[in-house]
Amino acid sequence: MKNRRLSTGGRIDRSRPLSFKFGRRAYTGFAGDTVASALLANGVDVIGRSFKRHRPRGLLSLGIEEPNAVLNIGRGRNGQPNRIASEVPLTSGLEAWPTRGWPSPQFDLAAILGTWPAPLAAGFYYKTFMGPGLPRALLGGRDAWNGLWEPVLRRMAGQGTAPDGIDPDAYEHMNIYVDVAVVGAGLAGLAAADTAALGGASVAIVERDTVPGGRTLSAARQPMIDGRSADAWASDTFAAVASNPGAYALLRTTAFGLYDQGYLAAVELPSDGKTAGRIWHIRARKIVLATGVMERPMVFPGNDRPGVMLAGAMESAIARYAVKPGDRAVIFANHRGLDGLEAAFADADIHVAARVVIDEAVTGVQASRGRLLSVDIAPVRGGAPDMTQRRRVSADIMATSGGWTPALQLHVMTGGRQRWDETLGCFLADGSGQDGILIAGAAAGKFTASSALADGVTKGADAAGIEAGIVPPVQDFARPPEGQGIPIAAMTNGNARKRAFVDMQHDVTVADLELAAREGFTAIEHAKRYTTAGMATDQGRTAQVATAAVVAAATGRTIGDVGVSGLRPPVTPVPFGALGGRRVGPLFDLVRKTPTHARQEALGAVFEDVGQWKRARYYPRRGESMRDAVARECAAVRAKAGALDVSTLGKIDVQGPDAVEFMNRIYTNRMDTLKPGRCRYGLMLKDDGMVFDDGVVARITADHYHLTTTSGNAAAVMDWLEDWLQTEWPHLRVRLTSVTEQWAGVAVAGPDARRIVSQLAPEADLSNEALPHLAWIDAEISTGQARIYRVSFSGEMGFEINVPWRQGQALWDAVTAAGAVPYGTEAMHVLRAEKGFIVVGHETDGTVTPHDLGMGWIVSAKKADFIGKRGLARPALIAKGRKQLVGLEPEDASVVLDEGAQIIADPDALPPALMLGHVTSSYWSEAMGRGIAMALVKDGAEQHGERLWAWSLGQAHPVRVRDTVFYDAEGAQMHG
Amino acid sequence: MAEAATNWSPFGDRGRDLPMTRAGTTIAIAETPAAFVLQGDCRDESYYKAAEDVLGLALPKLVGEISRSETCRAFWLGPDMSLLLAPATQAVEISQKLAVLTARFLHASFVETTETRAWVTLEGPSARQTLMKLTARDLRDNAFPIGACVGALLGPLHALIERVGEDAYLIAGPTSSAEFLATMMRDALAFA
Repeated sequence: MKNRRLSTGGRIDRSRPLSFKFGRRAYTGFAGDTVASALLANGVDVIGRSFKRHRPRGLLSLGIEEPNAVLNIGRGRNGQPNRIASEVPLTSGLEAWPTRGWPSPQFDLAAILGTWPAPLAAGFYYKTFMGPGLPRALLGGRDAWNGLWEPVLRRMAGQGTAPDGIDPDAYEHMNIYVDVAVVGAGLAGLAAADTAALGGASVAIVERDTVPGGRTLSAARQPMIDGRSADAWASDTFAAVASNPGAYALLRTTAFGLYDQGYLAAVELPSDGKTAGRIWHIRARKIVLATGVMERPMVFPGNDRPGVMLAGAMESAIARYAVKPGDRAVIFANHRGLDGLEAAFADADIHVAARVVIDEAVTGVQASRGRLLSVDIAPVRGGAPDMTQRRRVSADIMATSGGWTPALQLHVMTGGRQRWDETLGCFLADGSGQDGILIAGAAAGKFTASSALADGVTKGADAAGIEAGIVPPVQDFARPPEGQGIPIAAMTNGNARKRAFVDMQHDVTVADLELAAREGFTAIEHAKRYTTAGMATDQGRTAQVATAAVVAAATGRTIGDVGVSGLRPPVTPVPFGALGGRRVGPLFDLVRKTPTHARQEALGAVFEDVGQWKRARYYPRRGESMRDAVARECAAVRAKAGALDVSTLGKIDVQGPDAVEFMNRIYTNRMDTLKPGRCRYGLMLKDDGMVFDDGVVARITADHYHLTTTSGNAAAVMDWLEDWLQTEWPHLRVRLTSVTEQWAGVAVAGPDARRIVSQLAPEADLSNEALPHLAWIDAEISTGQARIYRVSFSGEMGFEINVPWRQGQALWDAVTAAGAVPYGTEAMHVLRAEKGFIVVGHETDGTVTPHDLGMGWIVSAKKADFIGKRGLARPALIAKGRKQLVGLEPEDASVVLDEGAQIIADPDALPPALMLGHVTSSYWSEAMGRGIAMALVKDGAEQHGERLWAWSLGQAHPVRVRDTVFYDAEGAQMHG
Repeated sequence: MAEAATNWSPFGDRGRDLPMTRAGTTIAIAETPAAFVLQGDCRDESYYKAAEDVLGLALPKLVGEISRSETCRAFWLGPDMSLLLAPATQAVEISQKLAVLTARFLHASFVETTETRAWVTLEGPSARQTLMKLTARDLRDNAFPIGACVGALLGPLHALIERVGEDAYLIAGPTSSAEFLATMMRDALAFA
């Protein structure tokens, strides 16, 4: 490798050498380098292999638009895929890995694909991988695509390696509000921010680079602004903006998404590897997009060869990074604004072997081991190269420039459109998009330093709502590429078009786009999807205009008519860790705990998540399996008494003179006939007639109810009730209040339950006469005031004691001290299944009616209306063939069916077998001494006594269909 | 009705880590006030006036508003919905007053919600910065002056945030998530 570092110049700190590795080789760079510039300085020409054809690729640019140098930074759990080498500041000890190329990017066995271009043309996957028609048995039961091709292609393709462990880096989020947010700290952005700040606006300015200044940082000849060099002016102005109260001036921060109502998202990735990264959520009244431009490459055969770089990147390599990219150059451009490049080449003593501008075209290149050797040049006559006049020029580098494209990704994300400007030869914002978003500087087509600065002042003043101030005097040294043409070289040879790359990150060529057009994909969005042009992580930054130009030429339209495709956030890859922020580890998801949680932990409970609640699932004793523990807990409830924490049940207080009417409309059964002091089980439907939730309703007074919901559905039910009240029935005088966490609850169930509750509430009359099943009382208990509901979800005599939340632990202590055995949610499920009680979410899935559940008895025929009444009357919901809830007994009593097992009539039927239904709940029942299950089965009510099969994971078990109540059908236990 | 205090804390083990101070900013557990949700049609002038007479404060009508009497505060929770807060020792008295008030108006009702929230204070020079990590609410002086209160998402939690001083906030989150609230706020204060 050749050392290409110049002995002087650049913005690097030669006093701070930094060691790093690329692949397995060690290199040295300097502070101020990026990984890209350091590799260039070390003579690393081939940085990776291309996506489809595995062609050798080097650096095209030194900016965010870079399509080729997408690397893995770090390894293992420290690994970061999809990092753009030109955006990663060099740090000591950094490890970078090529994305593709085995055994190395320089020598890649898969490069054979690059010699075989025809089959890899556009639509190749769609056309090719439908076959061969191999028996599915040979493909693991899958079709050819899923069983054969996709696994192979997944190994070959991809954009790097995902980290193999938890991200050790820490990130946080920050929310800020400002009057004006400015994206980009180039000349226009700085002028806008400074003007707005001077006008009294609070300002945030975000810049992805490590220093402010934008393109001037890479200029071989600095413009002079207000008597200073542009970079000095930029540095001073940035500091001035930052010094304003309430200002945010953020470097290394990339705005990656712009959303509705002035919401801008940016990611800050510090370069020192020590401090945290940060997502900035910026809300601003006005947003100035001073996002600059990106240079377009010329499209010609072999334009992807290492050594072919953008003109601006070459200038930057020399002026900013003190790297001499080569010795002998060809310049190929469609405009004449290359003064800066010429100056840089002169500074670095690079010989310009040929200048191919406008009247000539590059028709091919020769390369060896990935490095450029020579360039073929021909004059263009009548729109085609005259190959008879072709000449060959030796060169080791080529600087190309197909003009500049304003960076309007954020504008497009807000719904803004673009129009083709013939004069400037680029797409500009057309004035559409959201209010409050201003585009300034080069992004608005103001390509000179003086015009960009003036535009920044104007837009900054607009954003702040003030008069524009004085524009500092500017002295430009370089011409911009105004009058730039279409960046497609003239080509005649069909094969040449297959080597002329439009989208380098996805290996899309001119020939691919022309093929897409011939096959009818003429709309830009269709051509994009068919060829994948613009669909890589760079979203086709360097490809957009060329793609439009090729499609335009192929379909006889103009570039403006074809347009460019849409863009979505993020503008550039953002680490998942940054998006997650501090929502990792114990903060990953909200955790809700009941007041007895510490007691459950002390008992060794195994918890399960129910919604966001932690609920004790079972309490294994030493040596007990889950099945053993659950069987023991169930037996304790059936024989004596158990205690279950039911604090998680949703609870809603309903009050008002129209509460009765409201409750009657919400539930399928009547709530007007419910007397104060009594409870009733209720079912809620959605308006389509499907079961939504269930629970117990207690009537407190004539116009006051207390209802419970399922634990996981409490918020949804509250929303549902408020929705109806506020939008459909605002005339009903009803007030709802969530009281879920006002009341902690413990269920005491079992033959011994009354004795235990009496022990806590010695003054209360808990007899069947005073407190029958489905009644409630307020009572003084040993822990304080309580409300006791006589309800049962176990089939045994049951009491649910509610106390103020902070008394919950004391209640639990009192109940267990009185002899109730703790049982968890798993035992609860077994007990309720033995009784045939449903659980919403088990026996229902949004497609199940009360009649399907055999619960027609709860649907009132007398009520004028309730939510779901008309839905239930639909013919399809009362027709034969619906799945209905049944009980199942496996013929082998020791079998516990898999929940979700499919019910079939014939275990020998070849797939696809006719599915009659599925198992909704299945448990080992200690009380019944066998496995029991419930299932939704087609016409299940008529199948009682029939023999069916439950199939799961390759095993079919014969089952007998029966009713759903396995235990105490008369209810003697429950009613005491 | 609020019951006598027990030793149990909704902050669980995390409660032992509080108060926590970093660079002069402190997170601490605050006392739990008696709390009642009062709902009623504030367009009914007679109700509005009666509430003022009974409670000694005008019910807030706009988002972010707080009304105060000597011992009681009323937060705006929603249209026609206020959260009344008072020292725990006055729970019975407030409850009785509310019962009298709501008995006179068919559209009015109240529910005690003392148990539903756990409270912390955040005070110190980086208090606002800490909250900015957790909520998308605008906390600048002009949008959130001293004395204002908002319901907001604090991380994933529905919380009430009251600005009680230049660099001081009172925060209430769901009781069941008090441990999570404490963990999250300690993390936000300590991180970076």
